[in-house]
This record gives sequence, C-alpha cells and structure tokens, in this order.
Amino acid sequence: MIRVKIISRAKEIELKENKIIAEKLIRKLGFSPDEVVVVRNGEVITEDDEIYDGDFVEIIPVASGG
Amino acid sequence: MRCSLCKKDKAVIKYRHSNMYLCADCFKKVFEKKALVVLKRAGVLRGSGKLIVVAVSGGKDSLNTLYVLHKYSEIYDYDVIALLINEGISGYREYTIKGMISLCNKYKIEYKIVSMENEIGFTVDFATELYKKRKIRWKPCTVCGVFRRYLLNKHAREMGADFLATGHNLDDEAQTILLNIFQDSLYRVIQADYISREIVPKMVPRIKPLYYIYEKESVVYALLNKIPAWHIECPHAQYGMRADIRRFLNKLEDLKPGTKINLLLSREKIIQKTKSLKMPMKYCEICGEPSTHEICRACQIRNVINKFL
Ligand SMILES: [Zn+2]
Ligand SMILES: [Zn+2]
Repeated sequence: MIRVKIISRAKEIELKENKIIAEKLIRKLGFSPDEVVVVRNGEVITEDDEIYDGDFVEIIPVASGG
Repeated sequence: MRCSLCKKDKAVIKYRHSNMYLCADCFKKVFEKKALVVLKRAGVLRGSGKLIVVAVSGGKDSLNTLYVLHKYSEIYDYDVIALLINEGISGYREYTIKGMISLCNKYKIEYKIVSMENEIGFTVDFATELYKKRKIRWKPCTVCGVFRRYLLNKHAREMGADFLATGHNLDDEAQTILLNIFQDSLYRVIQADYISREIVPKMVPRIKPLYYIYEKESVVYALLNKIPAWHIECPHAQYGMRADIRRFLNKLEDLKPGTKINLLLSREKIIQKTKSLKMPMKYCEICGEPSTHEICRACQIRNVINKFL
C-alpha cells in the first residue's frame, strides 16, 4: 500500500499498487508534472522516480501565493 | 534518477524542455546562478554598497528572493532590507508576517513592516466590507495591489533603496504577458521584464531576481532550504482570468515544454523594438507620487473610501 497526501485538497488516499512511476500518480490525480512537487518519505523526487509499497508520498501543488 | 551534472546524487527535479535532471546541490547552484544573472544584467553588482529593498509578502517566492539576495550580499557587497506591507487582512497577514520574521531572525536580516492602516487610514478588510455593500467599485485585490505598490515604492525610496526586488517568477510573468495582451495593454507588457524599463525620478527601479525561475523550482528551493513559507491563501483571493491563463499555460507547457520561457523571450524582443514607446509619467497633484494620471490611483481610491470613514 502507498499512502498519498495531497496538500491542497487536505486529504489522504491509499493506493493498492506495489509500484508506480511518480508521473503516473501525478496524472492520475489530475495534475501535470510541472504543477506539483512530489515528496517521497520526506525527500523531493522527480516525476520519473518510482514509488513503492510502504512509501508515504506528499503531493505539493506549486500554485500558491507568491 | 541521477543528476545530469555531477552524475552522483539523486535528482530532485527534471527540466523537461532540456531533459536534464539535477540533484539538490546542483539545483541550488543553478537556481542561484539564474538569480545572479538578473542582478548582473540589472546593474546591481556594478560598484559596491548598493541597497536592495525586498518586497516581502511571506509566500515562497518573496522569501526565496530575500534568502538568495541575502546569501550573496557579502560576496557582492550590497545591502538587503526586507519590507512588508501589512494591508490588514486578518486570518492571513499575521501568519505571513511570522514567516518573514523567522527567516529574518535566523539569518540576521533587517526588516521593516509598514501598516496600511497607519499610512492610508484604512485596511483592505475595511475596503472589502465597503465593496461587498456595493458602496465602492474597486475589488479588494485592486485596492490591495494599488496601495501595496504605492507604499512599497514610497518606503523603499525613503529607505534609500537603489532597487526594489519582488518575487515574481517565470510563471507569474508568462501569465502577466498573456493577461495584458488579452486586455490590450501592450504598455504593461513592455514596461518591465526582469527590471523596470522606464526609470523616472521618485520611482525606485524594480528587479525580479526569480524572473527565469519556474514556480515549481521556487517550491523545491523553499523546501530544500527550509524557507518558512506559509502555504496560505489570501481570504479575498479571486479566481479571475489569471487562474484560467495559468491552467491554459500549464497545459501548453505540458504538451510542449519551453512554451512559457518562449513568451518571456518574445517579450524581450518586443522591448528591444519598442524602446521609443513611452507612457508619459506625471506626478500626482495630491500626493506628488509618480503616476500616469493627474491624480494617482491611490489618491482616487482614498478619496472615495475616506467618505465612509
Ligand atoms: Zn548534482
Ligand atoms: Zn496621489
């Protein structure tokens, strides 16, 4: 199970996948890679990195006040 | 993913238009180099002892700007002071002030907070109440924007600033270019890029150190440097045409990475070709501040709102 927290929407979801490419997750949530920063277990990763079973992922939308 | 530069560390960001990956250390260097390019081109690094006043809103962009400018201030021998305009927006401003103060305390950066209520006589919350009761025609964001610009320029000048730095990033600028074209305001497209192009007395030249920085880079930079930015939205924020343009540009950038930066490059070419095109600058008959009108926007709004005080 992968725990995903979307900061702007203040909600958490759980994925049953054992492995997913970050970009696939981003698009699944309705964003493009430039619109969010993905933090996996506290570390910033790129959209081409993989997320595994047991990971905790935070999705931080970049569109917020200057 | 590994860093394309050092080929050693794990990447934190991918540049899709150049297919490049950067690790945290290489990314920070590239980010800061892009800010220094603006400072160099704007003439900030020429000579020594210049004063840069940084307009701080408390969000990631303005705090990043303050942090980067402070980081290189000793090497390049200039001074930095943070300036925050407290517009009196409760449930918002008190938090963003905290962010600025904690960054300034941590790095020993001087700061100044100017209260709109003390200076102008009312707060943005008060103007918003009037707007809701339909007694004034200006939207809260207009009132806020006009007085923030007015007070930033006035106070930066009185502080002896050579430059006023703002946190506008590449995404903000690309949106602004389209927004102004859609509103047939070509002058606003060409009056400034990374520096204000028209230098008139009493107007402090404005620079945008994050001009070549994507909004995403700004978020990553703030995270990596533990910048205490508040991810809090102004309660009066409106989702006008800018929000639509942001979505539209993000979609285009997704389909064709590099679209946003091409808009900025086009603007620079237009600026080169339209150097003679100038708005006549006047000085407000009431307050004497620079304006394109006989009576500046700030005084126009103030005259109307004062009737309700
Ligand atoms: Zn590297
Ligand atoms: Zn005036």
